[in-house]
Amino acid sequence: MIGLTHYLVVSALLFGIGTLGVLVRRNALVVFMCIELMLNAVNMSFIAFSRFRGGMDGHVVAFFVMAVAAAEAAVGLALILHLFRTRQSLNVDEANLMRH
Amino acid sequence: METQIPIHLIVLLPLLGAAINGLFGRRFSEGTIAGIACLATFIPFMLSVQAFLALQGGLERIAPAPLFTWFASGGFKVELGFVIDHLTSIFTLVVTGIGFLIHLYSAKYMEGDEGFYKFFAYLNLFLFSMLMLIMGENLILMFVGWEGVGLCSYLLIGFWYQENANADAGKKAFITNRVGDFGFLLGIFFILYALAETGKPMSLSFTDLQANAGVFAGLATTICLLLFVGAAGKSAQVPLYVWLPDAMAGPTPVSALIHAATMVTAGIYMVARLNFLFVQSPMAMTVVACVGAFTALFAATMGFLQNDIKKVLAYSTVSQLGYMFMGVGVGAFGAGLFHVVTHAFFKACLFLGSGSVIYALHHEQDIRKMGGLFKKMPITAWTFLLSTMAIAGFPLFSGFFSKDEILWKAFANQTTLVPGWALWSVGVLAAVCTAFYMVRVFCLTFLGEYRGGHNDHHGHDSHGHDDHHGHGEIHETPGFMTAPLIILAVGAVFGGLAGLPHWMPGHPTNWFEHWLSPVFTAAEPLKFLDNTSLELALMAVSVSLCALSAGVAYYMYAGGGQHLPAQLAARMKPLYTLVYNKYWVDELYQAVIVSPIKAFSRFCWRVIDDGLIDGALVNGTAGVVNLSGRLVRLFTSGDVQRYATVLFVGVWVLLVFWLAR
Amino acid sequence: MEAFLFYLFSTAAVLSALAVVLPPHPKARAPIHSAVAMVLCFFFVAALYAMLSAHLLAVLQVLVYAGAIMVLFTFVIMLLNLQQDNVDKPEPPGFFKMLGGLMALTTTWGLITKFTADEFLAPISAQLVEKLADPLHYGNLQDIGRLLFSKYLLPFELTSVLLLTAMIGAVIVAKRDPKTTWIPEAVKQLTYRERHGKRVEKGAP
Repeated sequence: MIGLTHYLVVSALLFGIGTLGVLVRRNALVVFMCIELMLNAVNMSFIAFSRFRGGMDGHVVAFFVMAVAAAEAAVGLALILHLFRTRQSLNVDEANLMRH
Repeated sequence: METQIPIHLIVLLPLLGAAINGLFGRRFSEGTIAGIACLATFIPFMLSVQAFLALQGGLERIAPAPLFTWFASGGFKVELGFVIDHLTSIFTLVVTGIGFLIHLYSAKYMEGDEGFYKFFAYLNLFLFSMLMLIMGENLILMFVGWEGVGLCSYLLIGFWYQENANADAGKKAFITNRVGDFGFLLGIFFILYALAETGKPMSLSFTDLQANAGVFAGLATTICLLLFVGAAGKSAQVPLYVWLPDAMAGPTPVSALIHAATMVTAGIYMVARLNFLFVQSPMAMTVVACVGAFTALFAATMGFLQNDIKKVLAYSTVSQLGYMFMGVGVGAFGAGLFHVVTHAFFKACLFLGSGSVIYALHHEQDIRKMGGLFKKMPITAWTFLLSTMAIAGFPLFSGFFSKDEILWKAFANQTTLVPGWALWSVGVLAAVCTAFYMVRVFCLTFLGEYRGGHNDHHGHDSHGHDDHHGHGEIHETPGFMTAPLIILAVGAVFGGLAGLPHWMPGHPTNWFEHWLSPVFTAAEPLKFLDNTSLELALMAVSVSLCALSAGVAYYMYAGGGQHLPAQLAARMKPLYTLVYNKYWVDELYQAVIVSPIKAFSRFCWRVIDDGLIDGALVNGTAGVVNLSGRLVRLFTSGDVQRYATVLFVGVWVLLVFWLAR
Repeated sequence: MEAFLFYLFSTAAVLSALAVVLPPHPKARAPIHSAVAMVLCFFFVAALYAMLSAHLLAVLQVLVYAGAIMVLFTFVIMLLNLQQDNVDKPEPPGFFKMLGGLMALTTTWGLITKFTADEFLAPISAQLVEKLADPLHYGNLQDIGRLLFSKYLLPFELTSVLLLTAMIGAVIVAKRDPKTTWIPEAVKQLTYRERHGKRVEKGAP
């Protein structure tokens, strides 16, 4: 009934929304959150494939993705803290000191 | 035992002298410098005499083993070796002997000049080159000497280089010579080609060339004409003569040595040395004879109106060289070479005499400002007079014998494609002109009233010589300078004894002709008319015409007709202007050759070098790099989201590819 | 039943994801609103995992993602005292943002088209199972643990190193060095209104 394809579609939707957020939103924290959203979409895809193939390897991979996402979140937020401390704002559009 | 004469020292000692004077001369006193230089000339002269005597004793040539192999490339080998045969012995005697006399003369003439040591270094270097030219055993060594004398000529003409005109004259001489040398080189290439084509060993040694002479039969005309281009450049024939009058910017001893007695005769030597090539091509010989004849007349006409004493002598040299070429061109090698020797004596004497006059008058060279010097400078005047008579062909003087021999042989020759009487007529006309302008010079310089001011002028010799004569007191020049004059004058008068023609009472053999016969075996087949009475008749005609011309000149310039020159000039204005401006040949060359080349060079410089290579290629490349860097820099906006977007573009493209499958 | 649950959860997840990116209400543009929407999204995703019999991962999703990572986000938001940005002068999106948006939409559309195409799963359709062979022993801790310590041992160890590194790195980066980072104490305590022009009463801390 609800087949692999359904879950894949959900995954694609979440991924697209996440991409949209990364490329469009101005606030650095929101951009970061959208990156986590993309990772989740991929996780969903892994788990779906794993379920419909009968193995558990997809679960393990999703596990690892989660662990890495956590690590990345920690470091990334530290950087965002730093960004705010120096510029008093999290607007990524204004953070262009590296321009020519 | 005679072959043990170290003839290579003849060539190398002047080189040594040049090296010593050139490197260390700055510290020597003038006496030392001159002493070294004269010694480096005198010893070779002694050796030349010794060689000559050895050859007289019956040897055909002195040919010691070559010093070393210069280079060997494939089948082509050039060795550094020197040879003296009958022809070379004459030349070495003339070159070292007259060279030595001029060294003595220069020791006094160049006294006080700051470049004293340089001058003698250059003179010795010149002797080295000239001796290499005449003593080299192969064509390449001759060419080396050829170039060497060209270089020394440049160095010595532009000796007082602080004046632009002198430097320009030096350059002109060198460049014109170079044009000739190009022809010479092409001739050598053709010779090598002919040798290679027929499988003969590629040796340019004269003995080998003569042995292989038959190989060149087909290409003989081409080769000889090309070689003659070289000779025309070096020996100042039309159209490459333009450097010789300008070369008078150099010190007078230079003019005497290089441009009268030695370097300019190199062309004749070359034709004589390669006689076995030239006789194979009647066409080439005709060209040589005609060019010689034409030059003789052409230059003689220009001598009429020159007012600088050295320029008159320069044109006279060009003219006399024309005679020599006419001689060898009709196959009368002996006669042509005899004129080389006699000319060396009287022309050197004339030049040194003019130098003496210039020296005494504090560098005045304009004959219109001279006059009345006969009493004041007797030795100079008498030697000048004797040499003038020799060059004009006064009977029984050396010039008479040599010139008339050439004229007769020209008339009587059966080789040239142009009738002999035509050549003879041109030659006689030139002789008439010669007599005229030489007498004119003599009269204006030595006879009459002194027309110069009593203040010292700056002459055309921009000599750094300090003035130690009293004002207005003109006296004979010192002994160092007059002694060579006397010796040369003696040669000019009695030199004819070496080449007495057969019609003289007692039927003497022409010693000179006989001496050179082993060298010109290839020319023996050439035929000449044998008609003694005709010969004497023609001689009478030419002598009387010359005497008439001399008389007219005397009348016009020292006798009662001194108003005539100006009158005639006014009457024949166009002709006068034409000749006075030397037929505008220099201007013609300037417009047709020099200016286009300069314009082209300018184009190459501005457009190609500055614009294209510097601008477009070098700076352009840098500019392109600069520009593209600036372009790429525009991409760095510093906006992270923009970077992410661009990143995602790549991913998107990949996705599109994947999704489209 | 299953279908109904699926559509319920998936719609909710998608809608809350949209809420993260495109705030539904002008007053809901602050990052904190996005954070809350995110948490909601994670819950529904966890529900979907549970429907896929990935029990452990569903729990982990709630514990780690919603419970740890989003809490971290919230802490940071709180620390920085972020307010709504650009409420006064919302800038129009530039070329690149439009481009980005367009690309995201087309990507989504393209992916969906691809996934729903019949021939997409054709190569592996032989391996697909509708029903699990052993539902009790699927997606639970023991089996994942067994895999972790056998087949995926190396990545497991490396991940632990990675976590250690990340921890150290985060501490160092986030550490405030009083000598180089100057935040005026007053600024830290100011509220939005005070920072943007409203006067502060005397005596306020």
